[in-house]
Amino acid sequence: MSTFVFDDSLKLGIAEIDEQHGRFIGYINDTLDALNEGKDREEFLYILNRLLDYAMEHFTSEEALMRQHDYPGYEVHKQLHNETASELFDFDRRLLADDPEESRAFVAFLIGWLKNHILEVDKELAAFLKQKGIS
Amino acid sequence: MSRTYRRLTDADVQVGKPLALSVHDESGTLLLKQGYIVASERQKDRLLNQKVYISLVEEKASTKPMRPISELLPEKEIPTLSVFDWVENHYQLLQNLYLNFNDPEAGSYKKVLILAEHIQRASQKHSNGLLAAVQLATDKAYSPIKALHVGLLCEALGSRAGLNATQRIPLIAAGLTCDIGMWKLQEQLRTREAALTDEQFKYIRSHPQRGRQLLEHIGVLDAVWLQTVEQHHERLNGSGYPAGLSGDNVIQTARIVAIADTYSAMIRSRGDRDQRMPKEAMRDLFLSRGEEIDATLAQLFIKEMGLFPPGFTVRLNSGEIGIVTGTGNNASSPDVDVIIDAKGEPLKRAIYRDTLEKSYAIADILALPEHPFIEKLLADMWPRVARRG
Repeated sequence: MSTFVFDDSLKLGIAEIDEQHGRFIGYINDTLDALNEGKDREEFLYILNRLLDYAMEHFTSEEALMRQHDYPGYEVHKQLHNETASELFDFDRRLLADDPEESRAFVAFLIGWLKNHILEVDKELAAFLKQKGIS
Repeated sequence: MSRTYRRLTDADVQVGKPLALSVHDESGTLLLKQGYIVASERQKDRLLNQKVYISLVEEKASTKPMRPISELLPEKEIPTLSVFDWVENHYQLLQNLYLNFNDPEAGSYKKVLILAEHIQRASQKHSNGLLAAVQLATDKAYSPIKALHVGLLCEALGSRAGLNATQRIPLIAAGLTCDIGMWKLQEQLRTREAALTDEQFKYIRSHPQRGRQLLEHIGVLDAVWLQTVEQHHERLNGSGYPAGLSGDNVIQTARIVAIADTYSAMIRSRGDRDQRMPKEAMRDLFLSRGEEIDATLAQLFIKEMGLFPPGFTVRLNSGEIGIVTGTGNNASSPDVDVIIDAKGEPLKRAIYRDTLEKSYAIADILALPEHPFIEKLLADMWPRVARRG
């Protein structure tokens, strides 16, 4: 699998969110590298721990922006964040098994997060924020 | 020739530049030689937080034995305690305080305030060490050690949330007394295995109000302290008790105690509930954000404590086993002092590891291992605290 480049196709035009998404792309690429290089569970757990820290910080700041601007999709969006965070925490247990299948599932989960969340629901949020004059 | 020593100060260490003079420990043992380069601010902080000295005269290798520094230094310092002795002292003070808490003649009101001030003063420089010591105090009675833990957590989170020192005193006092309305029952419940009786359930649900009444009985007039105790089980979505308050009706200090109290209860075992690992506790706090607990405070708390809070034992990718000493640069990379090497051999002196480095990243959380010098190693892991905070 090729790595992702954080170019305009992935940017949403809201500086604070883009900066954080850029970090996320970095984590996905680290995970892809680890998979391609056949790294062991220590490598994946290292990335996962950093991702947990990142995700909690990123979701909190995105939700604060939504509350600040009375975003109508706040509840649904926050629920999606919770589902993502729960699954991410579950990988802490799953990756301990040191099973290549779980490592692949982890990569697939992160790419799914990028495609379904960032490129869809976050895009809607960005469009709303831009209407409010945020950039 | 004899040497003259003085305590190492901030001005003696410049990051990236060679040390002008050698650094020694209390017994005179050379720790860092003149010319050694301190590589980072973090390393400098750690050095300054230890009881280390510089020799004012650099000399060529001497064959004469050095006199211990303790003989050379006038003892002017205020008596100090290890973080463990500080926690033991304050745990006992709390235990005694709550024995006669209801007696208006016992001066409980003032004693709680003094304890709150001690916590605040000691936390200024020793928050990590004190939180670690409380975490490692597993042989104590549940109620007083949990109260002390909640008090320390309230100071840490209150400070992070931007409350000033004066505002944090009633917050800490509320943290220390939030369960005073069910003190005895809480201790009995610690070993229970059966489900709660209806009577016990009602008693628990009314402990915030009873706590407030008890505090009023002993002369507490501070509205924030009283309200915080009364509201510490209220939840933002209205699902809490006793009044089912919601949103802005739950005051900020009560939101802070709610997080501190919930976390402290989760990571301690009780008769009916196993101890949760910190990552699970942080997960639960995070998933409750905005619904039950304040979202911003939850995130600040997770940042403050990290995924591997001070006092927990961890295994590193290197295979070494160590103790988390501080929260480090981010929630997933705390400061760790290694006490067992990669071959499983106990070390006589703990070695600092930067867990941001992949080879020393944390792989797992463990129970505290057997170690022949564990007490000495732990006592030396954090700087000593002034007796009164």
